[in-house]
Amino acid sequence: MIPSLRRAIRDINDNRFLNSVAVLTVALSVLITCAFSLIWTNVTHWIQTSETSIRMLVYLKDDASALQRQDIQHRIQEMEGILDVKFIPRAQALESLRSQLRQQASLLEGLEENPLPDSLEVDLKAGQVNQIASIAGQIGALTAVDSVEYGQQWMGRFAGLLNLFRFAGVILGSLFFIASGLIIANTARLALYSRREEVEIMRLIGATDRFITAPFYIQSLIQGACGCGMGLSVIYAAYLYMSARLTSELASGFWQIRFISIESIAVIIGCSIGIGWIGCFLSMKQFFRN
Amino acid sequence: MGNSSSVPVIRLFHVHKAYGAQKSLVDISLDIYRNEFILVTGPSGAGKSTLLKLLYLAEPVSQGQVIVDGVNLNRISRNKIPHLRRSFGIIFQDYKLIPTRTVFDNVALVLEAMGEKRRQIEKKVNSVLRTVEMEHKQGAFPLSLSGGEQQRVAVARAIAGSPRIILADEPTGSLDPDAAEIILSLLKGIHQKGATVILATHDRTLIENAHGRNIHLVQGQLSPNNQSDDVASHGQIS
Ligand SMILES: Nc1ncnc2c1ncn2[C@@H]1O[C@H](COP(=O)(O)OP(=O)(O)OP(=O)(O)O)[C@@H](O)[C@H]1O
Ligand SMILES: [Mg+2]
Repeated sequence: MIPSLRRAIRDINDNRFLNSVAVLTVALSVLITCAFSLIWTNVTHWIQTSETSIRMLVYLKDDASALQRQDIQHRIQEMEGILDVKFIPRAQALESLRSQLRQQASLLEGLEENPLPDSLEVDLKAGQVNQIASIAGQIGALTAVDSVEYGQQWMGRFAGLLNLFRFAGVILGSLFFIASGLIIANTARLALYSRREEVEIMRLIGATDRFITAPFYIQSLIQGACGCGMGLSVIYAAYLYMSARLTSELASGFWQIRFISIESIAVIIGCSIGIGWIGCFLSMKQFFRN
Repeated sequence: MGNSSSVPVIRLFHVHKAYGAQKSLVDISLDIYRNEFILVTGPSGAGKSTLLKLLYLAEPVSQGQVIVDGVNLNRISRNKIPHLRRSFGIIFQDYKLIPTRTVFDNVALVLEAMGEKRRQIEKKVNSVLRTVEMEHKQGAFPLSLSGGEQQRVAVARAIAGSPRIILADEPTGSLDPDAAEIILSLLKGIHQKGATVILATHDRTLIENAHGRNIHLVQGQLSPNNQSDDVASHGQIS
């Protein structure tokens, strides 16, 4: 182990340029993945906490019977993500409209009959922003439902956009990690070729492939780990800088930005080191095939 | 002294080796017993190095069988090859020292590959370098050494791991007679301690002084005149 480590360090030193490129690409991959993840985490968090409950109004058709209404109410209650369903008879709706209008309530005096339909008030559980459009769709499809309204229509669209954003982040991050894997593989291959004679001699005197390849693996793992450390440090510094600025501007500090979750960091570290290992593995396999 | 045991350590059955159209070995059959001192002789190009290369699987046979320690090399699995090679201490005709490593590290490499402890390695390397009188050059790089010095380092590396079989391909080729004498007595010493030594050479004085069983090759074939040598030296190895 110790001689392998020494050999790995010597190889890195001998080939500083290529090793730096490998480390930088890993760092860039980490940076990109983290930046996406950071933005996504915070926007999602902000949406979920700023809107404690999301309310939908479900207007029923005029000819809906009491039985149908109860049935609908029951079905909605059974759906995923629903907190509460409350029936608002048309009379009560008019009453509350009247109280809302106050001074202008006289506007309603001329009405011969109540123009408002029966409706259901549906409260969604917190954190259902992503689901809002699909829930509305499901409810709208029920018979005797006339229409579904919710004030947070833009939020539903925004959530869709957010999912797209995350998807883009995953794709871009993966592409960069694959690219760094190839660069690490290439660095390992070049290191191996520059030591071809040495490797050949080692094989002849009975060194196992494992003994021979260990320093190359260590080298690649070091590249992955260094790149990961570098990327994470940069993103953490950027995070500290931004959160310091935000808290000083919004003196209350009621809106804190959060850092990426520990789980995500673990995944990113795993990817960086994994990509180092895979990169090296590919080169070694190619070389030692025969 | 050392009586050859009845089980051969190395057996060749009708071995042929060709490099393309070039037939380097033709129908070689022979047995080598434990603790024999074998001289593989013959003119340049006779196939001496090729014969040794088949034993440590630097080259595969074209036809026939090679059996080392009961293992048929045609059927050895890939991951057993390092183990096979470690049972040999090999002195290569072209030394095969690693140019980017010091004399010390070149010798230490074999022991590292065997998984020995650092302190053991240091002790053994110092000891074998002293034996070949290269102790003072342990920090030097191979290319800064003379041919003879490189050859002595190669010998040191081959004996460092105390192998049971020594394959020495022209180990005195670059040495003056005195230095050659030292190497030969070194090999004899190892042989006396129980190792099997296979020495390929066309150095006449070496052949005369070595007193081993002679395997004489001519154009890749066993020359019939070594049969008598064989009988003469078998069981009476110096
Ligand atoms: N890799 C190779 N490719 C093609 N031909 C080879 C190869 N190695 C050896 N030969 C041929 O095989 C024959 C035997 O070679 P070998 O090296 O075994 O001879 P040798 O007896 O060791 O000679 P020397 O005393 O000069 O070392 C030679 O004719 C050589 O040209
Ligand atoms: Mg030769």
